[in-house]
Amino acid sequence: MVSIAKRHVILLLAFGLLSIFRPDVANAAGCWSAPYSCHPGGDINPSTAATYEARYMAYAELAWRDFIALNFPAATSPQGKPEPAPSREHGLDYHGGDYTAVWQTWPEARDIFLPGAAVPAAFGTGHQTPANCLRTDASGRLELTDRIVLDEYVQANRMGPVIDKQGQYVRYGLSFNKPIFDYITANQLYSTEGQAAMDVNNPDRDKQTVRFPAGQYSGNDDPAMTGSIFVKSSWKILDASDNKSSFYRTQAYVYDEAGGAFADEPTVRERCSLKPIGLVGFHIVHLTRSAPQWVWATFEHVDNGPWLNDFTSTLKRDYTFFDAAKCAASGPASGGVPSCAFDTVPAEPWNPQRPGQTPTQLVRLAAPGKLALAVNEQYNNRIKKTYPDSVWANYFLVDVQFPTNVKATGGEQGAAVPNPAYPDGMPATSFLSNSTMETYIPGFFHGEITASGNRIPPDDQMRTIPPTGAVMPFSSTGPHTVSGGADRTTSSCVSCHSDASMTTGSSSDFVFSLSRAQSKGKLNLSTSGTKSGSAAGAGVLTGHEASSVVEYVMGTSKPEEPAGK
Amino acid sequence: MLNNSKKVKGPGMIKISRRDVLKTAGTIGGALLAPGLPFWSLAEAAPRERAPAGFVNLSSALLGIDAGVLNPVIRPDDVSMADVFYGLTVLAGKDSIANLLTAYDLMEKQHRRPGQIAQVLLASGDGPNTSMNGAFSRLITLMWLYGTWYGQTEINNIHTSASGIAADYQKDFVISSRAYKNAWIWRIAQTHPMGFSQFSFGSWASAPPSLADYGISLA
Repeated sequence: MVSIAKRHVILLLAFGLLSIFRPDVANAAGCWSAPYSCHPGGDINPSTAATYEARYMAYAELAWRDFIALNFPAATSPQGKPEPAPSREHGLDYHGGDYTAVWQTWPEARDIFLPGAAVPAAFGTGHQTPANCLRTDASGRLELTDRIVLDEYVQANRMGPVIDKQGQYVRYGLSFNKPIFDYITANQLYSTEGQAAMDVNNPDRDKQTVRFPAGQYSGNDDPAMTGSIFVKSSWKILDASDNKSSFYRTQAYVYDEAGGAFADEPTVRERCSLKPIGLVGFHIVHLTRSAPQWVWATFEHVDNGPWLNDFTSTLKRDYTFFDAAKCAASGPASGGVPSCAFDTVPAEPWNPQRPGQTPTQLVRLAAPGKLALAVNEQYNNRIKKTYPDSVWANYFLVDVQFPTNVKATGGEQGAAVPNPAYPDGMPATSFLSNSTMETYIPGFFHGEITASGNRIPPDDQMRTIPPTGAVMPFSSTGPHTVSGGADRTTSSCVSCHSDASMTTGSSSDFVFSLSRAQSKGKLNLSTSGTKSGSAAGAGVLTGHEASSVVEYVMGTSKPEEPAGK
Repeated sequence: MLNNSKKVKGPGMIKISRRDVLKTAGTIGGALLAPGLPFWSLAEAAPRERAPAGFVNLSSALLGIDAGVLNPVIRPDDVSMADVFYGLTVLAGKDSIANLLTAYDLMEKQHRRPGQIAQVLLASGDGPNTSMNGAFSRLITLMWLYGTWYGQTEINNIHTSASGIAADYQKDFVISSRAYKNAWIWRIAQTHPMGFSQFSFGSWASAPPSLADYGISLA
């Protein structure tokens, strides 16, 4: 007993000294004193993941830890500017859920892959503002903003937009953490020239030269071990008819580029306005040593829409993207299938400014898996217990996708590497989709047929067990879904992203955004430019100038700004 | 069937010749596909019950592939193909599979090597083993190789096999898309199934993965 007490004293003294000289350590201790960490994890503990269930649970817990850490309130500078670190003062119940989260200080894709392959501004210094948002300083130069800029409204692979009940398009953002950002900038992968240099010894483009830094497991709360993370967020534009208090919310510049998201829709006019937005979906993609195909996790707001299973009983609530009354007008649900059409791609033209568009009737096919439900229950209870009013009690993990077949060693510092026979890692779960981001490819369900009229075999369907009863995303005892078997044809994160490449054609380590790189040339900050490359506006800065101009808008609550003057 | 004359190197590690495998599997596959298969499965695709260790070890002996590779602990969606296949054999012939496992268990206790066991189960002199143990050994082997249940073809070739196969399973069918995708013939041939590929665009320009990467030992 005496020896233990002595050891404790020594540890406490050592930790106290560390806290004095290492502010981050003091912060880490504070984070751990909460019922969660406010730093992302680095990896699962490899020694506790010998079975499928243990590994699945470990990755699901890593996903939840990341989710909480990334959505922690951002620290602020004395001037009120949000910084890319968790707040020491505020927790998950801060400001009723209306705040700037840590990940929103990360650069967005449009901040990294700039017109003319300009050098991105330093990490955490703000976001490039489209010229039409009229963010200029006293000298008329375009400014950086702490508000994220949402310029995307068409889902990946041009699947189409999602339209809420008020007729507004769901908006999407894509942000990268510091390890990815540093890797991109160090290797100049924001430019086609930098990517070509990366492949200079890879003339056939058949090797993967890009290797983003992988996270490493640490028993301590060590942010330096995090590794690469990128996130994709989906947002509902909030108005008076929304129950705002149920959402994590902030304000963002909602930007429509002239000609549309892909410069092929001439009816879209350039428009930008500061809007209140509520989070409806959140992908977290985390590269770890145990998962060279990355760990894919997605979260959703509970009210996005009903599950298919819910139609076997009476729908109890209204939803953000499903009008139960309108659907019921088509007749009663039959056999667990709603009477109205659902998950239907909106008619073109896809123009968020076009009035009178039919809202999406969104129905979720897949409930979380059984083990994801168990982890949801655990984390939801922890959040509710500590912060009963936190908006984060309204978000759940849909599921995770991780590799089941890798070569356990062979990478740098003992990291796992892909097995050449299974470059996709044979992922589990086979399917993973977010109802707001992969709305139209959720997998097959019972009763569906192929384009040629063949029925979908049971093994390819998303099977919810039991097939009746409402889904309860925070209950480990409710209905859960088992993935179908035909992953390549519908939603599999890994299968899709394994085709991601740089502009050279070689693999980009599962990150599609590298294909947005442009050739070096004149920097024009007046356009978002990262997807279509179109140019409009006049604000021309050097990279140095861009990084030196920062505007602090943290904590302000500006009224909606009009479209460009 | 594929490796019955090969020597055991270590626990579960059986020498097989890729040429032997391809030659045998290709011949069987070509012959069996000829009658035309129903497009979709009539079987219960989801695992019905956990496969006993004897079934996995029997499969390993028949195929010459390590049991841990055939039935890994961590697998997509935690669906064990061994469980799927075992459940199907129980539906197709409860007594037949029970008798086969008893026979396998006896030979294992006699410390017979996997290759010898496969020889006994699959062959009789210069011809096939026409007993029910032979029939189910062939059906199990073909399930793993092709993801297909070849009940009708088995009966066409050996009429007496019908007595041990339930009426609903006296036909040929693809067991499931998961079974098809995981069929070992694709790995043995170092390629991917038609209609699905785990490889990326342009992979055809690169050398295929080694058999060792698939867990197949030729040593």
